[in-house]
Amino acid sequence: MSTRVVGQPHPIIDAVEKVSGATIFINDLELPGALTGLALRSPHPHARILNLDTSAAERLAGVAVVLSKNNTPNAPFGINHKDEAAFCREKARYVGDEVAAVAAADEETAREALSLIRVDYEVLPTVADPFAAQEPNAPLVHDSVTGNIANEFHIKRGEIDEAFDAADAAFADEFHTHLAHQAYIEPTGCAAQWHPGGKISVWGCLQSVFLIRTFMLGPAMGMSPDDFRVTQTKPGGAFGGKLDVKAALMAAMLSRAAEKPVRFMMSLEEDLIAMRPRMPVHISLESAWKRDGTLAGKRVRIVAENGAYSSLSPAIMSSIALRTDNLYKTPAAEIQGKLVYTNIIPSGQMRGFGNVQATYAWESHLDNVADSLGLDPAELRLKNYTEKGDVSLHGWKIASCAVADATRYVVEEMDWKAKRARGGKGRGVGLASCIHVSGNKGFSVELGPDDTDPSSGVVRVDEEGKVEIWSGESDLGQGATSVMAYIASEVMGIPVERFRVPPTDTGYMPFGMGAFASRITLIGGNAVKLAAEDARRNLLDAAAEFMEIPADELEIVEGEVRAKALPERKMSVGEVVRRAGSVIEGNGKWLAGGDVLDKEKYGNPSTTYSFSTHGAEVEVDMETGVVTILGICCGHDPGRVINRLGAEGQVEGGAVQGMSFAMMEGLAPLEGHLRGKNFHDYLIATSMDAPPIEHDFFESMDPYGPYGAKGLAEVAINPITAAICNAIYHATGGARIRTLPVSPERVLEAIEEARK
Amino acid sequence: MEFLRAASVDEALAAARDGAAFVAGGTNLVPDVLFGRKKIARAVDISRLDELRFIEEADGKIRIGALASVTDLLESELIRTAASPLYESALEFAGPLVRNRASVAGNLMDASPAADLAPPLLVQDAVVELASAEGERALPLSEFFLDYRKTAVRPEELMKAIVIEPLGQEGRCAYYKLQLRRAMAIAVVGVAVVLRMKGSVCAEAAISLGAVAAVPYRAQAAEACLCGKEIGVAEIEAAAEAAEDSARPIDDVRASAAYRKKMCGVLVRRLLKKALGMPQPVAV
Amino acid sequence: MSAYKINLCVNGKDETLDVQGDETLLRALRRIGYVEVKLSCEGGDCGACAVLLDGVAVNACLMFAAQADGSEITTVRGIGTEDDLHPVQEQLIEKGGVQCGFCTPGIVVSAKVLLDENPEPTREDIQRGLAGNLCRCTGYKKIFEAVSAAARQVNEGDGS
Repeated sequence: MSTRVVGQPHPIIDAVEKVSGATIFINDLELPGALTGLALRSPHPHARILNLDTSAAERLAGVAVVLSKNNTPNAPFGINHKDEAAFCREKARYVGDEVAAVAAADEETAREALSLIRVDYEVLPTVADPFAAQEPNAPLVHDSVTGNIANEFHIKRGEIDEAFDAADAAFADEFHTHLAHQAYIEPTGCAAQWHPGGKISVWGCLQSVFLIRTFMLGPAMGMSPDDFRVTQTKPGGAFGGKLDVKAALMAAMLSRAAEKPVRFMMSLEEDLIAMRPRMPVHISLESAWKRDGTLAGKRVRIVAENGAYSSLSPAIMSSIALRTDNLYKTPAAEIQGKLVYTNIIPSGQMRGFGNVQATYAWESHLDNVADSLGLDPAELRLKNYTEKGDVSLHGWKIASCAVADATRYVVEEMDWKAKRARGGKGRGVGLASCIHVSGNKGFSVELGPDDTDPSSGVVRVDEEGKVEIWSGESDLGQGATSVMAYIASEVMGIPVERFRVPPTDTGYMPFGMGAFASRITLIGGNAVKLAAEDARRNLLDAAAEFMEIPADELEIVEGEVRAKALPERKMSVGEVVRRAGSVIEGNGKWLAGGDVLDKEKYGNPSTTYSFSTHGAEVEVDMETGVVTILGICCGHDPGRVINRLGAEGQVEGGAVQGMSFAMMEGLAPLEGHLRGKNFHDYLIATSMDAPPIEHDFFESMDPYGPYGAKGLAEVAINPITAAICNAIYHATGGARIRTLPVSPERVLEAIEEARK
Repeated sequence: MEFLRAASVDEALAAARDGAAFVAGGTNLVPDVLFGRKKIARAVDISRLDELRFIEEADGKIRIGALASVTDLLESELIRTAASPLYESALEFAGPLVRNRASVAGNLMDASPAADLAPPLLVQDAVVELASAEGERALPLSEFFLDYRKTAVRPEELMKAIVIEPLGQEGRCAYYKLQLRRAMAIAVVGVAVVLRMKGSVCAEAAISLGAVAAVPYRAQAAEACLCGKEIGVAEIEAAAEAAEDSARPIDDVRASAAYRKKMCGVLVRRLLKKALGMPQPVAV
Repeated sequence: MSAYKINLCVNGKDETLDVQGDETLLRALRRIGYVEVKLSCEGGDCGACAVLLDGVAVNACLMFAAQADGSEITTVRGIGTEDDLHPVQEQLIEKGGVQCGFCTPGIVVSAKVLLDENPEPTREDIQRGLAGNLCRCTGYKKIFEAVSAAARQVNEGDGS
């Protein structure tokens, strides 16, 4: 299909206000008369609260309210397990757990009030290790949960035992990933305003304004989700971390109690120790193979670190367990997962939703297998990739797929064959691939209204010919709403400069689940496309009347309604609206395809799937273990590219964020205390660390996506860790990184182990 | 906290009492105060004392004003040519925004074991000039650091300058900062070496190590393996081993003590070879 | 706590304000409305609060406001606004060097002085010049491209 707008490179639609510093982020929002909210957080990983005395803090001049278990009802909430409360009840379960909160006239008073709260703790033994946590006599994080097991499953699919019995070769590996933060530059914050009558307005840097009402604010405050009007402020980065935001609850509770507006801004340190970072996992893999490199079956055992509360971790573990089986034709699999409570910060979702961890482990394992079988790692993958039309072992229906093209591109672009022939002398290349959902029906059930994973859009054209798009989905800075504007511009024939997409607001916008699971371009994009088509029809119908030409003989070009046969017969879109006497609107709603998985986790969770292959070239200092990433090369299949500039930005940003995760990040818990509490101990890639990146798109033209588009956010990050580790393996002649991050010290240990 | 801007060195010295602290670039002190790591009753702002901001050659030595910024080091031809380890350390120091404010004196006064400028200054025999209301004194940098974040500078003393020996014709040198990212990183290990050669004999050897003990220090036992000798592989091995033995590092979020110790040997061996132009097994 | 009256000239506008001795320049600027100077790490690690202090790029979080008394401060909005963008800002838009926009005010400040001091920066010069400004969204590539393009734009502008 030939397109005018779609597929071209465009700036994001709010770029001008952003480069001029005019964007209002949550901490810039003026709320007249607002109090300052702050939380008192547990200094202990695990402690019983024997006594909590807030009276001195309450008496301090300027303090409006102090909240704690003493004056709030016990209203547990949680997405999978109702294991969390607004404030610690009998115990504090991690360093950073909210024990109390204050709202005061200013920050200084609020800080002083916190210092006046007296808490008598009985320090309890820390559950820091997920394996020790399962021992019979281990202390319990939640007294009612025996063995500290939050979730557990065991699935067998296909003739797994036979597959291993009949295999020519079988291999086993273990991998461990670390606790890493989303590390957006904007610390999280929310503000709330209680209104007489009991309704509450909430503002915040949120990924989903609709869902936070249903999974957190409503249940935790004993109110109906409709009692909250939640408005998004543009997030200064999110990457999964701003979905489950307790700051919203703190602000809302303080505001209700004080009957005044409250700003609750977290410091960077609070953000690093008390949000929901990427889940650490321990993955054991076994795989069975035919001699020619055909995959026969695999066994996976996962121990996942839940931390103190569950958040979305059960779903993340499930994602880790099943994901890579769908990238390759896998005849049989056995999967066991255990999600274990510890006294560490609750883990959660970050870009990739477990797939970063799963792909790191499996794709590292694949290179070990290729090495053992004497096969080229790229060839091994090409032999086993899934293809369009396949239904995977777990029931995933592959509607479009260009992963093999992406891999061939990486192989060619990196001069793979020549470079693979060298290797072992401190320089090497590696690659890895991934599959990812574009939306996931599971979320719709766990977080949303029902099993439809819906999105809806409203497109409104005003009398000046300007167009506003209302969508309940959210822009996190990645340009998601720009994609909507470009789609609608394409449909409506109105220049994109005239489009505006305001931040999400439950007060007037139609429902949307929000930004996660790479769902917006596909699901939100389809809804907006339908709305734009509806608006276009309504514009043409109105114009037909005024111009006395049948609607099907009209078109919209450059914001003007023109007679196809007589282009000089025209009317501007604004004029049509003025003559019509009111805003002309279009509505659209789109329900995602796929199924909710059954109890055995069988089914097709997403409408369609995206793919990518990442390659890396590294130089390894064999004496210090210091790794230099010389270059990254990526091929992506996001279906049709809508905004080329935005898509490139996703790919480059994802690759460097993934490289950063692999090489240098880590909250580094030590006996329950995190050590990465600022941006000089929690390292993320600087401009000096950014390697050259080459990349291209392999547009598989998805049958369900708007103009053939699928999700891109997460395939952009998933494989890079394994690609780098595989390059290190190649460069060093066999140093396999089994524990992340790839510190120089770990590399050196792996080099020494490989020499043995 | 009381704030006072000193208009002159004398005014600064007069104000240096009753829990006062000097603040220059502020890159360490300001966040320390903000986050409550340091409590000070009075900040005496010396950042505008331009008489303490210079880099000059005097009496065959290089004199660096206490308030010379790290950016000033990078912009000085004198530092680049006659104190190249210091220049290289400045290049690896934080990022431009911090370098524009951070002063040489501040990096030393902070007394972090990982202070980036300390190893290169140590190998050029730095002496710091201190002033107080009672008078002035000179203190070798090798005696400056007493213990973890503790210096021999008295509370009422103000650092005025740092004097170093230029490399000269005979000076052979090398510097390396082992770090976990390419900028804005605290050193895992910092190493600087200077060898002053008389023909094929090493007349003086200076090796300093940072981030591997409570203070940055000169590895004298390692230096002794080289002094007065024709340096070959055996001498270098001995020096590397002595450097490794001398390290007393700790485990922290960046690396283990064992790794740091081992790297002292690896890096000293490598930097000595680099300084002498000997072939390396692996490029630094 | 003692309060001090200080004078600043922010983006060409004279401001007189009372500050506490230990109040940082970042917090003082934000308090009087210059919220385009972003607050994140408050430890000099991220560069989101970068401003020009008498023409020198610094982290506003790393100095006491009182230290800046009598100084000229330039924020991103002193470099260019919606109607009058600096070439760095124009090229960040055109090349896609802005995503969430939170680090962008600091990036603009660092890139502007980089170009003032070095009209023809190499990729490595740009990497070094922006090393104190963390960006989590873009992977930096498009920022480098934007700064290179801005350099060309400035140089061509000089020639015309």
